[in-house]
Amino acid sequence: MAELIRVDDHRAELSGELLFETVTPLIREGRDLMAASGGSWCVDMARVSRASSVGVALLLDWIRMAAEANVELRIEAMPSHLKPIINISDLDELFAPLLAPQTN
Amino acid sequence: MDKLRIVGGNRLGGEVRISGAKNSALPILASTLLSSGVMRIGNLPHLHDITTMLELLGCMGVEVAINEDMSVEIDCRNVHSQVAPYDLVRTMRASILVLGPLLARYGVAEVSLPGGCAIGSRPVDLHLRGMEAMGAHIDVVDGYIKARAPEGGLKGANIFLDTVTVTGTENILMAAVLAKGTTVIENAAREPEVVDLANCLIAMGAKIRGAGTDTLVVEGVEQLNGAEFRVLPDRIETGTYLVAAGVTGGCVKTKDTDPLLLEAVLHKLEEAGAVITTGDDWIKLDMEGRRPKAVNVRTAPHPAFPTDMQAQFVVLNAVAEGTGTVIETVFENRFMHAQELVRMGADIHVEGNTAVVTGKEGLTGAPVMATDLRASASLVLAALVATGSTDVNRIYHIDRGYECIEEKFQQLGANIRRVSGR
Repeated sequence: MAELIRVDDHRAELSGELLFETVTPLIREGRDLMAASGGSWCVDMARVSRASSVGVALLLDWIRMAAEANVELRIEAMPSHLKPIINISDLDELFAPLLAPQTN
Repeated sequence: MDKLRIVGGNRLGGEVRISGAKNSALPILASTLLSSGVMRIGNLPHLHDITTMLELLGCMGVEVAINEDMSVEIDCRNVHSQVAPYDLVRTMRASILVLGPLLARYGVAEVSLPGGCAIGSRPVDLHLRGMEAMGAHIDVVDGYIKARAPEGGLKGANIFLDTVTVTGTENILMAAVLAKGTTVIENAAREPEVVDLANCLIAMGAKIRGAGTDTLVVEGVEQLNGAEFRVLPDRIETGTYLVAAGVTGGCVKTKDTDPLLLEAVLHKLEEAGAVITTGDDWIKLDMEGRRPKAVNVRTAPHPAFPTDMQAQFVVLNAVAEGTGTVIETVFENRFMHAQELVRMGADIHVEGNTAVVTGKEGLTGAPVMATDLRASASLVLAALVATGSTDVNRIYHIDRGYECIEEKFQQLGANIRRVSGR
């Protein structure tokens, strides 16, 4: 199970398992929240417990949407296990400017 | 175009992790098309051809996800196309491996002929004859192999392969596992990668006997299930790093590999004076600072000395004490690296399928050009032992077969870096 919960206009929390079975509804939910954000939107991934490359695909969809809608997108607390998947997909350069610095 | 810049002279030492074998991974990925459940494949090397195969599966409707442990989960339940288009096939000849699984599972397949591949002059002919023996109707139209299974699906058959072909054996094996009745493949390839594919198919529920021998017996089953499988280690990558230690007088331990996969190579390295120790999943070569002794090598199908290690042993002989003869019996024109090595000061005389190599105390750095995958590896080895700087150009060949080659050699103490051609 995975959830995207709106915190405020500019922020949402993503949680749970990002897998084939769970992400499809999140695509639309994220797009809607981003469209209503007024130009800047941050997704907090601290409570994502498990993710395959399907999670990366979800983020890619939001990145594409952000570029189209001229929204400044930021990703916080990206799970460490997603980074090797991003790396082998040659997507480091795309994700680097979107990632908030880690606090620990 | 990127190149590798290598300053030779460092004695290699340390440990290196061996990647999964591409030549095993590609047929295993193709075999997932046979599964009615979800497959999870581990130890895949991070190489361009693997990505291309995943892309090929993806364009057929296969769902692919990379897991946290970097295994790949493959779900073929929603396949909507049985076409392997030219744009993908032309970049990877191994795409032909989807022919057997598509025909067996879906009864139909359209696979583009690889560029420059004319029926009759290449072993792809043997793949097609095998499928035809199982009742398939095959046409070659507009550069595509168009294959259709008979009513009721492929039928078991006795198939004798005129020449030993690894991909041909694999393709026919994958077609046979879902065929009605028994298929016997004679003069089959015995390579460990064929055995690995058979083991994966068996894990999915296939009934196969004789893997690792020249006769495979397959009892067709109704369907294959999802399974978890880990690709075997790359024996040629293992051998290449061991030879690198040998030519530099170093001491290298290859990890996550299997000594049983390259007994013929280890035997030759011992003959060259290396001290070899092994464990269940590691091999250590210690040259103890000595120069290798020249060895005579004759390539032949597994379990004999592999053709894919021939070029590396030409380099070993080029810096060894004495004269060694390298005879290539598997492929024609496979001494393209010799001319480049001569430019680095090697003493090599090629006549037909034989290279006579007289060892010299040292080689000298020079700009060289890779002509194929293993030739490229041999040039890197030569550069590691040469004095001065060597630029190995056209390294896209080497990137097709060796994962993170410069990082791995750096880890062993080599002075090597990638110079971007951009």
